[in-house]
Amino acid sequence: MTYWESPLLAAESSFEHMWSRPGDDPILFVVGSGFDPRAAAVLERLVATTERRVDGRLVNLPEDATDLAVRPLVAENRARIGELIAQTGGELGEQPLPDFHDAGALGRLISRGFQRSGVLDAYREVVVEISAMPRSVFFPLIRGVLERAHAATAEAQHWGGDLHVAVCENPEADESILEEGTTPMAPIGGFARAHGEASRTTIWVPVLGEGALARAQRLYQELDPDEVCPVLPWPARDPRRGDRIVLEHRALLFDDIRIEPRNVIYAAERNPFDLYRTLGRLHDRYLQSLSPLGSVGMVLSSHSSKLLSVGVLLTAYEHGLEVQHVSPGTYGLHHGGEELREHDEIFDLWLTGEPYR
Amino acid sequence: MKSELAEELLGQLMDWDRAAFAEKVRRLEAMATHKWDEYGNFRPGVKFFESLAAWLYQFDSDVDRATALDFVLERLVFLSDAEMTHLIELIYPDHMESVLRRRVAESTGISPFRVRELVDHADFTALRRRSLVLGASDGARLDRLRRSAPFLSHEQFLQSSEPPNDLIEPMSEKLAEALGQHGLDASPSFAHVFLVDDFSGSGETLLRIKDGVIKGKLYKLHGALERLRGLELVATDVDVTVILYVASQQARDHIEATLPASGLPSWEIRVAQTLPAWVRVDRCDPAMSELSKRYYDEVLTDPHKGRAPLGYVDCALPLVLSHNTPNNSISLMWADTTDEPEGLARRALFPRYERHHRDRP
Amino acid sequence: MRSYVNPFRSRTSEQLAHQGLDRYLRTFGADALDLLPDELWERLLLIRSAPGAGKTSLLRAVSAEALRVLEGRRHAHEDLLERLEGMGVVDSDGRPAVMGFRVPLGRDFRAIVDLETDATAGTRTFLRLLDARIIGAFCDAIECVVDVDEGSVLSVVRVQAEAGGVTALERVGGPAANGLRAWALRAEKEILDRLDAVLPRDEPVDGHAALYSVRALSGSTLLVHDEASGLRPLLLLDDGHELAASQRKLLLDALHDRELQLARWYTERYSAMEPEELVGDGEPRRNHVPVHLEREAQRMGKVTRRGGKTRQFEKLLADIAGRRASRPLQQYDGEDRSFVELLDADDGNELDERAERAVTTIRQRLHDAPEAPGRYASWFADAERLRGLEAAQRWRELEIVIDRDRDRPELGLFAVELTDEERRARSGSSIREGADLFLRREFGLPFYAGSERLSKLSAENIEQYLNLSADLFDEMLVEITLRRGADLSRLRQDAALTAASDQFWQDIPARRVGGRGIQQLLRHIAKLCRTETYRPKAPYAPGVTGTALSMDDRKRLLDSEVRTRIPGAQQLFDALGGAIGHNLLRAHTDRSVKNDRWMILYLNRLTCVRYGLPLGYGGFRERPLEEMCRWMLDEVEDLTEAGVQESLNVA
Repeated sequence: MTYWESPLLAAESSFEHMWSRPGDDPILFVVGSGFDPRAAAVLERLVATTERRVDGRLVNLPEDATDLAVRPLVAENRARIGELIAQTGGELGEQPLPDFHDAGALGRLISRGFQRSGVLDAYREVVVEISAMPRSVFFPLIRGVLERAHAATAEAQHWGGDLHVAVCENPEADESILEEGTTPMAPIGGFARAHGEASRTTIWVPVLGEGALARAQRLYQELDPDEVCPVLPWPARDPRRGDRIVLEHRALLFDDIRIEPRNVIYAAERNPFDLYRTLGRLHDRYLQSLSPLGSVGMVLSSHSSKLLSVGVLLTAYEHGLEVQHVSPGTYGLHHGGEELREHDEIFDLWLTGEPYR
Repeated sequence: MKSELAEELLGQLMDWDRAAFAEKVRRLEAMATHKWDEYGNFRPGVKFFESLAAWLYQFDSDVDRATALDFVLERLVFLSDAEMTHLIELIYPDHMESVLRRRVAESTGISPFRVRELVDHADFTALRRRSLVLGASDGARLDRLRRSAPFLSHEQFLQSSEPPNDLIEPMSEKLAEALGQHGLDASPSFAHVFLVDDFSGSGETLLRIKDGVIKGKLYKLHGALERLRGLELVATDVDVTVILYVASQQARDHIEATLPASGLPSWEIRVAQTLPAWVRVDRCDPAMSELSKRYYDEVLTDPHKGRAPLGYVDCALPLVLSHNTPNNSISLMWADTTDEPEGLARRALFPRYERHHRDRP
Repeated sequence: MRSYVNPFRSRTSEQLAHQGLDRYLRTFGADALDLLPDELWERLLLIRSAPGAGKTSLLRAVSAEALRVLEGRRHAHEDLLERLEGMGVVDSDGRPAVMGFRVPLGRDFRAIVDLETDATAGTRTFLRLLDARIIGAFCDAIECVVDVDEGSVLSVVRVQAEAGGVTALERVGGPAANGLRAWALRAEKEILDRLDAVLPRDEPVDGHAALYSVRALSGSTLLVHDEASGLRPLLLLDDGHELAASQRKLLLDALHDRELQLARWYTERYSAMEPEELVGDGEPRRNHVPVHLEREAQRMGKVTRRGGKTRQFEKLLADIAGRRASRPLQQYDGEDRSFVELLDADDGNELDERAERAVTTIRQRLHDAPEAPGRYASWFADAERLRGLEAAQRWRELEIVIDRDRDRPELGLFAVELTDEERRARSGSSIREGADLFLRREFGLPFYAGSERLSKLSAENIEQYLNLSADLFDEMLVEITLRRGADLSRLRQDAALTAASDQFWQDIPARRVGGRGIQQLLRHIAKLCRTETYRPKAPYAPGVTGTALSMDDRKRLLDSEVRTRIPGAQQLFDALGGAIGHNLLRAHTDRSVKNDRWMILYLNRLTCVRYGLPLGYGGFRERPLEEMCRWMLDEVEDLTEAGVQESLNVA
């Protein structure tokens, strides 16, 4: 069963086409309270395109994970989001930040809180905007909605609506984000090992990107995998991007891991469904060839754009795979980060509902 | 030659301090392992490092060698076999299926967002079967494309950009059978054509207007389709999508500009991986550009290519394909003139196998 | 260089089911087991260390898995087996007598506190999951170590509990090992599914009221085919600092139980920034055996273990390096000398020029002084007889001694020539080391070179040692590629280690949370150390490499109330905690110096390189709390020491 065999991805102009569909139902827009300068970009575009009412749900995120310097940006984003919601005649609700001791638990707590609030049941069309949310939060949040969407129609928890995951990509903005430190490796909430039994063979499939070398190294050390299949972006806007990433990770790939060149995998930079398909094929191949050796555990990790990380999410969701994660300890912005808005690109992945019936 | 020997040679050739040696050689090693060693046109027994050493040896000065080496590390675009395979893998889902869905949405009035509905629709199945996939050159690797598009039948693929009637006839018969088997009520004529090619550097092979005369594969295809339409082997409302695995921005611009002037219908051109204008060597590496001009061997000039220090039609590409280097790339990369009696014995880094050779008509 | 593998970085090429384990055992110095005390099995062994010090390695060495591998490859691991026999871990035939089973505490536990709705549920879930993990690991160990002719191992194994443990054993699926394994898998899956759920789960939780596994195993016998196996189970709990505070307390209380008859080791990361914790029944420290790995490493060579002398930690490191590098060196360059020998090989002529310059300059300075040569004449004459590097070192040593001598009040009108004996009395290895540092600064004579200094740079941390050895081996590979042999000149070693130090520094923000704050703190400490070290008279020879906070000040800093009142205090607290926890500062608490008690904070030895500091743990300069807090608010320039310039060209 593949959920997203014929998926729907809208980029830029198709986004407008998608949201100018006529309709009366209000839209629920879920967004994080982050500092990322792209936080309101999707909402801006949505509000400009659709006639429908947009209600907002702001997911509050911990403040001390961010630099003092960027906290004013958080307030700015919040204000802008409020404005845009009000423009459509909608209401902005907030999801309070739960108490937590272990940052690794936060994502699950937020997802459970979101579901407990019952807000999902009141809407048939939902957009989860991930630009200003860390992976550790949106992975479990989106998983929760998918689980409900794929539950049997008869079950109480079934939700039959349309889920969109939206993100604003901008490589320059990515470069300006300062991520500091590494926390110990832990599975992303909702994506821990499916069974209690330890796999005999571990295959690590990291989706590599720029500026995340320390975290990739840490994962490699802690995971100690039997085989590594790194994923590089291709096709890509810059045809040399994959090469640059290889060189950035040169010591890790060639001295420490000593990868086999044929283990390198490619996935389209701008289409997470390509990553989803490719990883699905990889998983099937390994399942077939290695099963005589006992259980094979494919472990995914995402070190590239948020857009591509959704591909990781979908693959892990469908095949019950583990996603390991090393968080930065804190986030900040290089100086001038808030000014780079030239190359925003909006993406909308329509994951459940109309396209799949 | 053992790679360490080549590395030692490199150390002798370049004006490096020990730290630079260590760093550069390690980077070169990484890329050679990752991609460059796989190049199909090295001489037997030769791999990248040896080729690099011989290539650098021909330059007169340290500055020139440094320019050349930096070009290799910073600008070279090497498209590996694995990368090409991946492009082929996404052609059906991202370029063919979406095009067909769009057509069916338009003809049935079903919302283009109802993807499942469209894909399950009889009209879609019919249209898909009534699609013809033409390979414009060997590089199109139709065998691979077929393998990654299991929904398409063998009988839909043809290696030809100007399909002759006698090859299409039997295909049309199979089409009729298939439609019958699936209980589809549609004419056994091909309604959609996908013209597929691996690479276009200038776009001219596909379409060009020279002295008022229209030439090129697209033009030839158009002619063929007219004929086939007359024989009802191809539908009157046939549409064509041109799919290129790799194309330069120059090629895209050229075709887009030339199509309207040529009187051909406005066929859609889709490219899986575009080489943006800024990777051109004359834009991103003026020093290398100048070097390539300075080292150009006149013996290479011939009626087909003209003079091409920066590659055919001055495309100035830094591109190498795993099996061969296109002649749109700068000549310093691919031109080996060691066998030319009048030549300057230039060596290539990634030697090209020349399809049109001066002495071979 | 591509076909050359750096043995300090990558895996061995041998294909074994547990290739990681075999490689690790190969390179694990048997001496490392001497870090453990004589008493191992009765009371709780509480092991603390900084990250990378090798505590997990120690645990792995006694794990059932490792013992299995060792049994199969005895000739390859002779000294390791010898040590293990001395400890009672294996018998005289090399067969396992102890069955270690490791339970990492870093996964899944802490989050329970958040994910369970109330504290009681949280505790019960914690205990049940921990029981499941302990029993699961126990069963895995049995499978490693017990052999059967056919069928599954677990089906013929049974645990016979003591009277008090029978119920507990049943609770965890026993007494049959099959039942234990099945229970553990089921319980773990149930709990993890529940914990990992992204949708709310409100059904009540099934948990444990106590740590049943430990009760069940206490005083138990392991029966194979109904016969006593003679195997002693050893519970290895790793990374206790990852638990939530309440969980850790619960666990440690259980482990401290006096009635418990179960060999148990527990490890956690050391932190000097936590209040002294009371462990178990209000009887701090008495019911466990504390082991502080870095301290033990420093004591090696001076203590005995299991009746035998221990070797210095440096020897252990040299052994590890030798083992890893010997085959590659032989293969790639026909080199028979060991890695360590290559580092200590006599220097070539590279340094003569510099040494000459040094001698000339210093000699001139000393002769130019008003009282020269005076009482120092015979010293000068002795120095004239030396050549090369030795001469440079002597002259600089003299310069320091003479500088100090000038201050002496007894300097009278009598210019009695001082003898060589008197030189020796006023000098010493510390002063000579200080002289070496000054020579490096002024004349580029390498200091950070040689196997002994490399060991010091590892700061008793095996991982750090391996990383540095890897960097040096990379240099050797370049030399081998260029066909110049594997010797590495002292100059090159110094340059490579300086680069490693810089890289180590630059990685701090990327790898550590709060990295920039930590760097700020370290910069201030480094500045202090440099100023003191390079005073002309080298009053603290060889130099200063740390600072200190009084124990009273430390107590104030630990008080969150106090922290709100002093600007910079919270940042200092965070930075100190982070730095100590990550081995960027070594903390020695409660040291008595000059009638007061101090917490001494030494820079990580690798950091010392970029600041041109010596490598011994000696000098430090204390600072008051308020000043340290101000450091966190005042930017300070990063004043590093210039590296030695090499003559660089390859060709």
